[in-house]
Amino acid sequence: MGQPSIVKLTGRIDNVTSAGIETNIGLELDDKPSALILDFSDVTFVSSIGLRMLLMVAKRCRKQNSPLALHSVSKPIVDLFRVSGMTEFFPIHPSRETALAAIV
Amino acid sequence: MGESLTLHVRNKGDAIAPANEAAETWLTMQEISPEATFFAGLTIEELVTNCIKYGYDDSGEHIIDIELSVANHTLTITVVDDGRAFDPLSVSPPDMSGAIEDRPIGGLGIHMLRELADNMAYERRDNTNRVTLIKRMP
Repeated sequence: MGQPSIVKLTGRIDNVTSAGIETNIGLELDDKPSALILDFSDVTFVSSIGLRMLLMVAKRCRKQNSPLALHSVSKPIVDLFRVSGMTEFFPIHPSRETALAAIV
Repeated sequence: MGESLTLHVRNKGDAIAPANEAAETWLTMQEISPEATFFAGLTIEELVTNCIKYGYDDSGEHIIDIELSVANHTLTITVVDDGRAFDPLSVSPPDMSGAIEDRPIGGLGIHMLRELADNMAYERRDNTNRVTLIKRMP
């Protein structure tokens, strides 16, 4: 049980990239971080498959008592979380600082 | 006067990325909102993926036509495929009331398009499925 893990995602989270992203995040979670922070500042697109993958990540975080927080999410992606009814599973923060402060 | 772009997308997974790039390049030149650009990418990704997965009875090549047009602060996307009859408006929304453990993993794609679009219409005509989505821009 250690420090929070901060993962910076970039580009598209879609049919092509989701499996690889899930594997990488899985490796971080294997180390049992105190929390998982996903930096969305350079994420340009999320598809339904990407959303499903992120939901699996959220489920795993919950299972291992590792709070999850996202930060710097663009408006279209915030809208996507909202219409998918998943806002409660993905706490979204404006910056890395506020995300880190929230998970303490 | 409006502008439009038509893409002919093969029913193969690797055809989605080039289609998205072509759409994005064209949309950038139309100066449309970030929400509308995102929505166009989502429409292409979700509907083409659905066609590839569920649309056809044979293993042959099919073409999915995607027309994008911008006029009067409105983005209109029309997707035409010659696959099995499928009305996306007939799909029930996924159950979104459950705790995280109970949330279904599937069924999100069409629901997201329906919620984000200002209008979505379906027509079956001449053995093709025609889906039209409208996104208004402020």
